[in-house]
Amino acid sequence: MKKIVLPLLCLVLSTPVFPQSARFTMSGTISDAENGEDLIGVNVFVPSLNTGASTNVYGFYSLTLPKGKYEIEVSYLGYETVKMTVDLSENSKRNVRLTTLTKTLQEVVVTGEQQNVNVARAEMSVERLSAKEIKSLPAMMGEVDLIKAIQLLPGVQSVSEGSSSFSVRGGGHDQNLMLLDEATVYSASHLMGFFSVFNNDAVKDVKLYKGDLPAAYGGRLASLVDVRTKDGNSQKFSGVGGIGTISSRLTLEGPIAGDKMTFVLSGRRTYADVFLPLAKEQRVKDAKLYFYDVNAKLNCKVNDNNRLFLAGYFGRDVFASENLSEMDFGNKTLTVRWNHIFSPKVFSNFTLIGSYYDYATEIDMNESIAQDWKSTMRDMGGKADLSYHPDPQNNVKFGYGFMHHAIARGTGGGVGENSIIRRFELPEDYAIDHAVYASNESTLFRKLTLRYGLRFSLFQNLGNDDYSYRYVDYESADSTFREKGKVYNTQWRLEPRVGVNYMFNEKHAIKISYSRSAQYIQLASNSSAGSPVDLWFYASENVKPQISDQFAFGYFRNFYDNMFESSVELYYKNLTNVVDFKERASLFVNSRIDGELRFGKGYAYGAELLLRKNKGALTGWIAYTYSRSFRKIDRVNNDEWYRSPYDRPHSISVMLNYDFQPKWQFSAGWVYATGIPVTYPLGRYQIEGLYVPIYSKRNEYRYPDYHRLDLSATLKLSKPSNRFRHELNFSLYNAYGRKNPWTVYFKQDEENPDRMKGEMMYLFSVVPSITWNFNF
Amino acid sequence: MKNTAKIMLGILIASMVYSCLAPIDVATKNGDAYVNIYGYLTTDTTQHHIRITYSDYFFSAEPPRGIGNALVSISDEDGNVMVLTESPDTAGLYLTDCDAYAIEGKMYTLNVEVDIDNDGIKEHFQAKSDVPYSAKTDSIVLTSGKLPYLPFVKIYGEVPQNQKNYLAIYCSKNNDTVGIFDYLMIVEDWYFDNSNIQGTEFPLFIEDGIEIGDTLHFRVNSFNQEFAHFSMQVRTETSPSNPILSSPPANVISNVKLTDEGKSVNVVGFFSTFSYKTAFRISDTVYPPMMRNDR
Repeated sequence: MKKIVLPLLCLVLSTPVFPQSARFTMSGTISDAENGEDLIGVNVFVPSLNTGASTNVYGFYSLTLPKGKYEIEVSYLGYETVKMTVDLSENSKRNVRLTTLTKTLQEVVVTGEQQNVNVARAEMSVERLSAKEIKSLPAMMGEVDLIKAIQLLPGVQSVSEGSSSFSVRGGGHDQNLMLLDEATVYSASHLMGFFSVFNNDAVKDVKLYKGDLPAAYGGRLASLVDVRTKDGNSQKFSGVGGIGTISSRLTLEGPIAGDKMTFVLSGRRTYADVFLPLAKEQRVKDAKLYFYDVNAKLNCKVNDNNRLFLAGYFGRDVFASENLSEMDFGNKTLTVRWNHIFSPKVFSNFTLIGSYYDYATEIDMNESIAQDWKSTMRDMGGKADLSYHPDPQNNVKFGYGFMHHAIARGTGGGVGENSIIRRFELPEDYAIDHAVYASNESTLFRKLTLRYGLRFSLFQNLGNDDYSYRYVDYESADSTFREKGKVYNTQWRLEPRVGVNYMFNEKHAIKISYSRSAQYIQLASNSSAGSPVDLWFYASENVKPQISDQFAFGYFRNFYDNMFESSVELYYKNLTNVVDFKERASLFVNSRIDGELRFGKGYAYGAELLLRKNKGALTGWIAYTYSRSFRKIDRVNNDEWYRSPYDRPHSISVMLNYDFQPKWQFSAGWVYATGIPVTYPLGRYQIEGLYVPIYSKRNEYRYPDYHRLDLSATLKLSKPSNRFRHELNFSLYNAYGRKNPWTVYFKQDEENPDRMKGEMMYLFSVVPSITWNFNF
Repeated sequence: MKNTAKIMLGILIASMVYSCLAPIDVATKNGDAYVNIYGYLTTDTTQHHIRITYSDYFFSAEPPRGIGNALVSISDEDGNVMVLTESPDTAGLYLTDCDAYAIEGKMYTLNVEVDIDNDGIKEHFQAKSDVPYSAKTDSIVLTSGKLPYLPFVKIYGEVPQNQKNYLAIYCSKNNDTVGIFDYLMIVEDWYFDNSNIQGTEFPLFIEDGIEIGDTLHFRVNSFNQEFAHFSMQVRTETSPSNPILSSPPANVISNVKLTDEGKSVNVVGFFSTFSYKTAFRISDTVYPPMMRNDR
């Protein structure tokens, strides 16, 4: 380990050596001229030096060059390129506003990135989606969904039909870090996973890192989904919305005080419950079943060097049967960010983050068994991220973050004087994590870019005025009283991240990367898809952090002036300290979860092929993924290796959009994947007339292969130049009615009770929907 | 209580997907053969039985084959032995005398000797089970809840204090029979606020409704922990699962052991002993069927 760490430290901490002739820095922000939104990843290029910079997630760029006069090009796909002459004789600030290409000139583009960025960027295993791209995909029940769009990308698999949980490169669904404006979203599902918590109208940009996370991020092994919401239209009051089959949504944005302050307010609600009173059955009439969510953001430009953001999310699912029971659950997040430019070369972002998830149930059938129940998870913390741009060849990032975690596993019991049920309160669990990181992206030669970084993560368990239990050989050995707030267990890991990009020319490159990640928090669920009542648990004196070492190799090639992008990525992941659960683990209402755990190891490998067409009337992509994932867990499956629930060798996704200007747009998506691994019964024995199964080895069999075709057509009802624009979207989810099993079970044949027959439950047949969308 | 949230989620899922069912053909290989030994002894004075069968291919259409010519006995800790005789009508069914019963607080051992591997030497299987003290059920009352079609049964009684209690609650109407795994719920000690189950209420799911004059039978079985777990596992593994709430499938535990060293015979099943109390009530109220649409 030392052999790796020391050279890395030297690399990170060494100061690059630059010519000492007079150098000056041009910096600023780049935004959309129409709505003032900062643009991410805009290319600021100096042709005479063949060098440049790109904007960060806040639209900021910094370019340090020798004194002189330069032609500078600012380009971004879908926008008119700005060329300007800059006489750089002192540090200067240049904010640039880009204008979208006029309709007659604009080619249909589905990616928001500049030319050849997929080849040129040092990162690999990264996918980026714009709100526009997501919107172009066929919608399910009229709602386009960010997570459903991510599930179509190479290397990503849905864990079950209709679910918002997903697996990246064979990793568990709790190994994905979901960030909404930097705040962790612990449960990203609405309506049991049919929809995600992300309202596409409020989303500006989504980036998926498949295992190879930037050093600034950590805490999960498989992926990072970094969702950034809109900052708000600084030019005019505007809105976007839609009325769909089961939900409606509205987003309003605009300036508050000139262009210094902007707001975004976005909300949506399903209204299936509005129609329930029309049902024949009384219990259905009395039911409630809906979700709603609200995104709000304030963005304040204090001055050229300081900006403040306040972003919040609040969402809730409610399911209730009148006079009987109610269950509701949801997330709340709050982010306060301060961007400060210390100097033209040093950009900083300070963030305070809060994240909260809870679920609650109430049963009120009868006063003697009236009961309630509540569980919560709460994160509060902050981080400081700084970037230093000494010259165009180096982009140094460093920072520190901490997060305090609290999990209340359950408080509840009988309600009222007449309840015979005992009340209880499980002790809260507390922990705090810290991380320090430094990284640099360095262009050593014009063709070679080196990306290297190191993250130091530290995780501490805090006392809760209760006992912690130490387990030996999975049995409780002793216990120790832990005073509230006192650190009683500390674990740390070094997480190096290295990548090399060699560009043969601007059109093709090879990339290699190595990334180590540690995960200290995991989901207390042994179901394959997860549910809203799942909570998380910490690494502890009994639980080591899970570790992933991922090696990846990729070849990237673009054709025909960036019309086509293609890539091949190969990866291998080695997993240690893999956490799993003993058979029939009791994870619900259990303050001693450590005793239910089993530990082991795993590995995953695969290949991802992507061909994407970015321009022209026909756009889209074809992706093929080969993915294998295996585990070996102590005392599970007779200590033998078995397929992980996420082992799905072959998957294909084909997404096509065709734009019939000026009125119609059509899109189609077809997905195929090898069936989910499953444990089936081989034998049976009879007890009390029931046939009890004797199972195969774990995940020895598979469900039938999964495939589905989605279609959508959008009819534009107004001219693009109109102030109020609207359109109708018609979607067919699962157009040919494929019955993909959600679960398979067996029951005794009614005619011959000695015969077992298989039955599958599937969620969707053909699901048509229509949505009216508008914007102004 | 412990599974309230999960039950509610299950209801939610069921309400969303109940109509999307289709048959599916599944083919698996045949697994290893097992010996299944199952039976119980209760505090009721009656003829009890132990059934010994072979396991079978899961998709077989035939009833299980009984294993005959076994020596089967049940002994208590005082050395009293009951020898069971094989039924002349059903192969593999071994019967006690008609007046057999278990005594609360005692430990019982089942011994089975049978030649499974046809080597001329009998293999010896053994299982032990203790009889928990029963919960007293003094009386029951039928009450109405908030839903017109869902009556509650209110029980008065007492839970034993010197043991961990696992109470399986059963309800039936008139001459309907309920199997051992058809319990309404298995209730653990911590559910109750105190030891006296004074007016503890349970929802009464009688699907076809209750008429005036119907006799409602109520039974509380006191299981030991092992059999309570076994019963819950049998119920889980013979019911549909779903990806949101279900754990990976796993074989049901067994307390039957092969005691011969060096031999390898797979065995499943369970020998249990339990006590129970019953009560009944004649309804003087009409409760409509649960599934009627005009409520």
